[in-house]
Amino acid sequence: MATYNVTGVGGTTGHPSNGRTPYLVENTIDVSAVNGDSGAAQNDVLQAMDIPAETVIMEAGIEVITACSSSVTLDLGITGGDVDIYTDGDTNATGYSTLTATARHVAAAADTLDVLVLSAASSAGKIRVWAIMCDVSGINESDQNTSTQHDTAV
Amino acid sequence: MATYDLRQKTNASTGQKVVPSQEEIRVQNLENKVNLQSEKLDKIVKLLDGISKEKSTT
Repeated sequence: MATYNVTGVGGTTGHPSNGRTPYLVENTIDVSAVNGDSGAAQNDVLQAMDIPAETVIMEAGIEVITACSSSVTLDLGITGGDVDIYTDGDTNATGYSTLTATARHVAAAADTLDVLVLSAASSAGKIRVWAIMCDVSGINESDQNTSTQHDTAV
Repeated sequence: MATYDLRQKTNASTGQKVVPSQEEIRVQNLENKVNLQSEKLDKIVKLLDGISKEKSTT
């Protein structure tokens, strides 16, 4: 086993302060007003926010402002993928949902972050969905990542 | 099961919003102040131009 230093220039000077920064996105949803004020049915999907391509969702969660109907639990994640990657079966008590320990999601292509209404229908409730995202797309991926562009043998 | 698109503002959602940092808010406020000053200066210049024209005709 060997260790090769391919970190490039910069050495131990650290990362610049003007680099890309994570950002907070939020959306407050009135569950009681969904579906023409009927509320959400069990297993309904509430698309809360866009995830741009090549973006990592570093953390996300639900803040229950007003409780949903009794017995309702909430998931937060990616429909068609890991539906409860960020929140798994939150019991919809007011306050912040418990964060899961699952590895965070990187969206290779544009997607949506969704709330899944589980266990019962809900004709009540107000929730704030929040997510901290960061663009992780590469720069110069096509013209810099060739061996001829490198000048140090390792 | 149904899927509801609540990403934009609807009667059931505020719509997704990027929350600006304190620094961004400060910069935005500063930008607004500069724009306001710029508008005021434009008005002063116009007034001075008007006075100058009036004087030159008399």
